Amino acid sequence: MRRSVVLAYVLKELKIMFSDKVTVFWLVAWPLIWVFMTAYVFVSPTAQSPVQLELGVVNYDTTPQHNLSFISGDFIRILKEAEFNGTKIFNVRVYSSEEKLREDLRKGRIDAGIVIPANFSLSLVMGSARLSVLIGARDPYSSSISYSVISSFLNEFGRRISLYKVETALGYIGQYSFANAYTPININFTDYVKSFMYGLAVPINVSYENVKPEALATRPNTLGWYTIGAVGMMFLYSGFSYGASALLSEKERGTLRRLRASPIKESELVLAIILSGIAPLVISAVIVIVVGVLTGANIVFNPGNPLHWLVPLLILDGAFLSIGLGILLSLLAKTSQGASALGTALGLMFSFTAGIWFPASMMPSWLQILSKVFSPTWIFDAMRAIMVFNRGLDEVAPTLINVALSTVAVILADIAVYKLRLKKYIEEA
Amino acid sequence: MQEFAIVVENVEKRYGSRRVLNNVSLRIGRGVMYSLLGPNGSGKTTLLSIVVGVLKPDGGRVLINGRPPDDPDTRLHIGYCPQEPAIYERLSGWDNIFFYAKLYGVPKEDAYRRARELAEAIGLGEYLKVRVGKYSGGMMKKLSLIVSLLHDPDILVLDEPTTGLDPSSRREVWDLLLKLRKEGRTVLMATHYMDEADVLSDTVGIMDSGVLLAEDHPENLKKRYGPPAVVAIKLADKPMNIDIGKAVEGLGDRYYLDGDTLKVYVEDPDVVLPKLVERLYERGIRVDFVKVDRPTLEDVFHKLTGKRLKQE
Repeated sequence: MRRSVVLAYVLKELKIMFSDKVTVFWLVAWPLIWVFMTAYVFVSPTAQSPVQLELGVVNYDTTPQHNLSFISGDFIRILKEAEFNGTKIFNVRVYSSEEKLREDLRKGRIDAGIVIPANFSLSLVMGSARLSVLIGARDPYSSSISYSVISSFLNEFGRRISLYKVETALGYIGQYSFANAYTPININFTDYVKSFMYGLAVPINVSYENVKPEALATRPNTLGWYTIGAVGMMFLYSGFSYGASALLSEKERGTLRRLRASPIKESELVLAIILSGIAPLVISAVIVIVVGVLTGANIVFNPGNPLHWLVPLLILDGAFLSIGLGILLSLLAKTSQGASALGTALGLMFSFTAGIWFPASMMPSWLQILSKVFSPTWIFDAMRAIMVFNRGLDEVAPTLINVALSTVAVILADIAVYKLRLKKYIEEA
Repeated sequence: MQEFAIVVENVEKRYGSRRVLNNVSLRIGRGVMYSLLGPNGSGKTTLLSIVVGVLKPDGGRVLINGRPPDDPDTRLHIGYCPQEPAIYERLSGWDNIFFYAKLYGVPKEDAYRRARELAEAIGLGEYLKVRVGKYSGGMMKKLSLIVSLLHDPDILVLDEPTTGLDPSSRREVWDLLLKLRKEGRTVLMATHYMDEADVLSDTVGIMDSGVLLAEDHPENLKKRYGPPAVVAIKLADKPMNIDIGKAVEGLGDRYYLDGDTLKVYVEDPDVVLPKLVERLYERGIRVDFVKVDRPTLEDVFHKLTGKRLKQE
């Protein structure tokens, strides 16, 4: 066997293989992207740090504060100050009534609520205190996260209260004879000791209740949430890919030169390319929604509500923005195949930060920043706000303004990119 | 009406540090067929791209009917057929035709009628229903030509319109181009086929390395730059280790080997030919046949550049 011949053939094949950027992408870049996402998204280095919950608190405790070693105000202060690895665990909002708290939970504005009952401080000092925890759901994942975080916090809180009470009891034993011992209320000292001892074992008696938003309380509504996610996924994958490769495809076909020699203007060409990409995306979005509804998804569209007529516009704008952003990606590609692969890969990555599969709040904080400045996220959030959470115009309006401004910015950037690319492509052809 | 359909004045173009067009000027009158003859990389395609407004020159200017070429109204007067077919392979011939007709504002009925006439003329009529992906290279080229003529332009800019066509298809395209010239259209064509430029053109411009070296009627170019005659001697064997220069010395202005044919530029073929054959026999070179040719544009190009067009 001639080793040099075999080696020459292998080298030739490797050269051919690695001269194809698409092959290089799938062989090297894609596994690297996947490892990167696994390391920084799915199994984030900051995964041990708690997510910050939006927590509502209602305080009905009217116990006189004097002579009590712990008051409900302290409990709220501890909630506000609780940290893990330097991150505040709760962003506490104080409510005046349980009704208002439940209303915000139902609308998905907060993750959870705590209702502090009357005599909470007294009960806590005397024995066991009741506490109602209402678990909300801003998305299908957050209720279990909220439950886990709050229950862990309250377990630790209870343990510390127990220790504190034991130390207090030991102090009493040293200072007073039982006969003259002080009781905060007028009960028999023996009953007080019994209650106190039970309180050492279970200082807080927590009851949990799920208060999911109506939109997420049932399977059809959860399916609706995911159906909008599927529309967003398709926009990002296909929109990015089409936008990035459209002009390069015209160049590679050789048709770009003929198009530029025709009376079509640059702005018309940019618009035509975007619109021709929008049409299949919108058709696909309609198909996804229809199939979603057929499989049981509850997608609310009320023709009598003017706000709901924004949804078709949001779908159009979502398609427009994803193609427009894809066009910007064409700056990074040399061939239509490379551009398409780049668009698909970035579409996949952005689908996580855009909250398509799970909420952006589950991402590491630096990815959450990316999510907040990524305009398609605003569109998907607005669609869910209208169709899933049934929110009003006052709450959606700021998002819509951001969407409109970002659309204009993307159009202007696209025209600039096209002028730049057109010149280069024609000179290269 | 402007006297010249196409005016190119002192056009310069650079790609980075590489100068691809160097002070090119030409004027093409109405109804004239002008061929740019030059090898690949001589700047023909770049010049045509500037003429149709696809590229902007770095210096100089171009006027089409007295107006800049990137003016949308001006573009309606230009029919541009790029070097590559520039059609959509996933569409049928008719789909391509109707798409481009729309860009130029040609009504569908007019586009249908005109495309049908043109397709019949160049033998594509029955294939317009077929998806272009199933076409041969020559068929694509023909469709590309039809597309460039849909809007009935008075100026045609054709970049190597017959490259890749078989001889019979080339002849069909030539006939169409001659018919278009008869109709009074101005044609600017790039080609590297000497015979095409020779047969079709009123004026030929010789280009090399971004410079327009000469332009005139083909016969005038041959008279001015070509030798009186070219003696072509087909050698029986390709000469090995023989100094052809010595054999030709004193008999011709210059010579070159075109495969196994020795071509010598001579003033008086009747006197030179016997002596030349004799010298070759003396050196052991056998001759299959000899003929005396008139000079061609190839000879003109060789005279002007010292290079041969065919080799490019």
